[in-house]
Amino acid sequence: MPAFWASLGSGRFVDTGGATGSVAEDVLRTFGLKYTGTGGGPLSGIDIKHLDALTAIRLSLLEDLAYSGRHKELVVDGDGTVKIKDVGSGGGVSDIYYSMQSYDYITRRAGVMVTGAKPLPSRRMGQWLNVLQGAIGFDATNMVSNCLRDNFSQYYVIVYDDPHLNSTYADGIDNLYEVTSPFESIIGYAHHIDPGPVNDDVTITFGKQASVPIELGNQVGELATPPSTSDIADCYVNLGEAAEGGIPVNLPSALRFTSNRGITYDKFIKVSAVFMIGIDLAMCYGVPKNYTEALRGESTPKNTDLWVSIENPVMSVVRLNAGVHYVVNYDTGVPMIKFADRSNPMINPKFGDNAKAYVTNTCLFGKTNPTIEGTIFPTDAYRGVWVYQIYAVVDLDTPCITIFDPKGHAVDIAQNIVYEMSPILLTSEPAPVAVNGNLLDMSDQYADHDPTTVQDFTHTEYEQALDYLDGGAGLSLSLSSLDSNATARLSDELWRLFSNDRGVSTTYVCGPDCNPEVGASGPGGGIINEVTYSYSDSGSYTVSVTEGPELVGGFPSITSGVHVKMTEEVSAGGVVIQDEGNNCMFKVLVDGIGVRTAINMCPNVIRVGDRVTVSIHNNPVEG
Amino acid sequence: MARLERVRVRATITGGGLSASTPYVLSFTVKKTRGQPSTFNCSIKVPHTSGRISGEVKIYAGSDRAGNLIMTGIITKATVSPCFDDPSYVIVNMSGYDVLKTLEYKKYTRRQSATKAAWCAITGVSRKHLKSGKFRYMKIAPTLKINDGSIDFATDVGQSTDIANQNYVTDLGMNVSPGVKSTGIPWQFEVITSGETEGGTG
Repeated sequence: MPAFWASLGSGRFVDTGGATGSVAEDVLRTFGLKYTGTGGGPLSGIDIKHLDALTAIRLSLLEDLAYSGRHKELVVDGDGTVKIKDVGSGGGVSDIYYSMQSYDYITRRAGVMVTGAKPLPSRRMGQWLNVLQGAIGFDATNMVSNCLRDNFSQYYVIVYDDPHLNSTYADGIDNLYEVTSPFESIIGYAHHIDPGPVNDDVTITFGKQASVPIELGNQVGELATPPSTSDIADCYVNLGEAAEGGIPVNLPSALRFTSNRGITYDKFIKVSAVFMIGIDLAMCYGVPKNYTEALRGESTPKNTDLWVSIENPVMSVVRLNAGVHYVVNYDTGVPMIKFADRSNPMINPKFGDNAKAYVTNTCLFGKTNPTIEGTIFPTDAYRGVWVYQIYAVVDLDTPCITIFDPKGHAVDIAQNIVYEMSPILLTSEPAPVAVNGNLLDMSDQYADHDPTTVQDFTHTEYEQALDYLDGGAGLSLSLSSLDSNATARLSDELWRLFSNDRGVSTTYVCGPDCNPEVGASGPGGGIINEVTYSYSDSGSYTVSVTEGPELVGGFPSITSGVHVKMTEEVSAGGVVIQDEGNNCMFKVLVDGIGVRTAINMCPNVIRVGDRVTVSIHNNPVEG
Repeated sequence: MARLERVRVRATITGGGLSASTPYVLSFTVKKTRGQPSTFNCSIKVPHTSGRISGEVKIYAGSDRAGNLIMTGIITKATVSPCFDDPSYVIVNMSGYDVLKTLEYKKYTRRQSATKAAWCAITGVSRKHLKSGKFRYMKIAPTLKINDGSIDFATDVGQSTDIANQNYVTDLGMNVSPGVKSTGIPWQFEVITSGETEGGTG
């Protein structure tokens, strides 16, 4: 099964405005400032709208530090030209008269926390998964169709285990697709249903509950005696022992039991019907073996022969009445069918398993078949069934596929049907957060979906980092254009600058030939943070240079991301006009909209000409 | 004892429609700070016939000659006051910033937008020409029918209209009744009618 997103265009958000080049330089160009040097990042992924120009420049230069590790800032030369300068480059402090140092009080430095860009959500398809793994098929042909035709089947039921499609992160349930990331969710499932070459008459339906026929054999066991056939009674209320025992309804354990969070539960709902397949006995009555002795005592199987009349020797299906012909014994783990003897209680030939009956020669069948043997089940006082097969219909809380082919190839279709699903996944990761160069694991902040577990959200990495930063001076900023690596690097670079600040400032008083540049390195290894030129006529002309730490002032912060254009969800009807050949993608002529390529996300076989409903997701509203 | 050394300092301030050099440059202060627009203020003595004061100012200074261009700034404020010791001159006080100041209050816009890719899903289907109630396929087998005591022949039970009196034979080990003979083909029988000899067809 090929991937289908390729034919849908990009499965990701479409970036409609690429960001290249330095924002800092672009700002300078935009407002007509002469500049030299290069630097500054593109602030990719940030929709800049009416942002203060100087702030934009500083953000751009900060991004440069994150990606290149080069700390740059703007300085203005004496001739008024803006220079994008590497902090610490150059020098120029000369003609020093004297210098003096001062020390600022430095509190404990805790760290630098940087938050990067939250990635755009992305969609992707998961792998194709076989839904019918371990499925069991039931051919209902013999029960509900023409039992005399071999290899002729109209109905077929495929029962499979609940795939638990609503998978969520850490839900503790065995799902068809396991969501293993807290940032991942399932939008829906694409369905790939390939029934093979079938005609339009074939109906394939999907159900959430299954009714499956379970063959019980052809024996009814010991028949229970109804409470009293002389009373008007049609059930076994108060009979007690009559419900004990019976013919077991053996369900495949794989079909019946499943587990949820390690607890096995029973998918069995009930026995909804019991069918007998056999030949209808139009008359079914006892005849004394010895009429003389019959006058002296009651009828028993030993002194009573069973005579039947078979008017229609064709297999037919008889639906038995619950409470009349049988009861279901649920007392044991395996449901059991206890059959009842509904014959005339005053005349007691042998009914049930291994019975023998004489066929009257008043019917055509009896002329050539004087006796029949086997299981003979009395359905009322004078009728019965010569049993060929018994089926119990069991309702299960498990999904199923029912195939109906009026031309009788349901079994062939069932054996070749392919049913796969692929989850359509949405990944929405949080923004990366780094402290002092170390990325934090944000996944432990997400709650799982397992109600049997508890989580400790007070000691997540993020919370611990916040606690750590509470212990001293810290710096926290967001730059929502940074990927995880750049986020870590920026926090590392800023932490390096932050921790290098020893609080020492040196002021140099220099003569008139000193012409230093702010941002250059000073004689003491620090950075020239301030230069003051003081001139007075008939007085003095000194140049005062202050050298200090590289990190001065604050940094701008921005959290906004890309502007996502408005979209809408549209639902409409349409007609399938073309199958793309993979039983998953179809071209649909959507009413009032036009042709769209659509993914089948419903559990149905789709064919050309079908009327379908479609949902168009992310239909553009804003151009 | 400290040794005093005399240094000749010179300054020149031009621009803004004015020009003044030492000794007409009374004072100036230029302050450059990282991350901020630089500032200046100066006081010069110029003839009162000077023109309008506005625009860009360049401040030069150095020893012996004003060789270092310290700052090029923009005048944001200028005041003129009389020079009491020299009536033909006035004292002009100017202050301003460097060019970064021009970015103040400027807003920058660089849009970056994204569109979520549209996709279409089939959420339901109603089958065209759906056939729900279908006639069952029935085995087309010859059957024998007893009708008023005589044997009749019917080829398809589905086509028979005499349901009430039908009896069917099946392959349950039944022997063919007298008057009917097998053709050797399963479920094909020939009925011998009165007056015909064996081997005739019915």
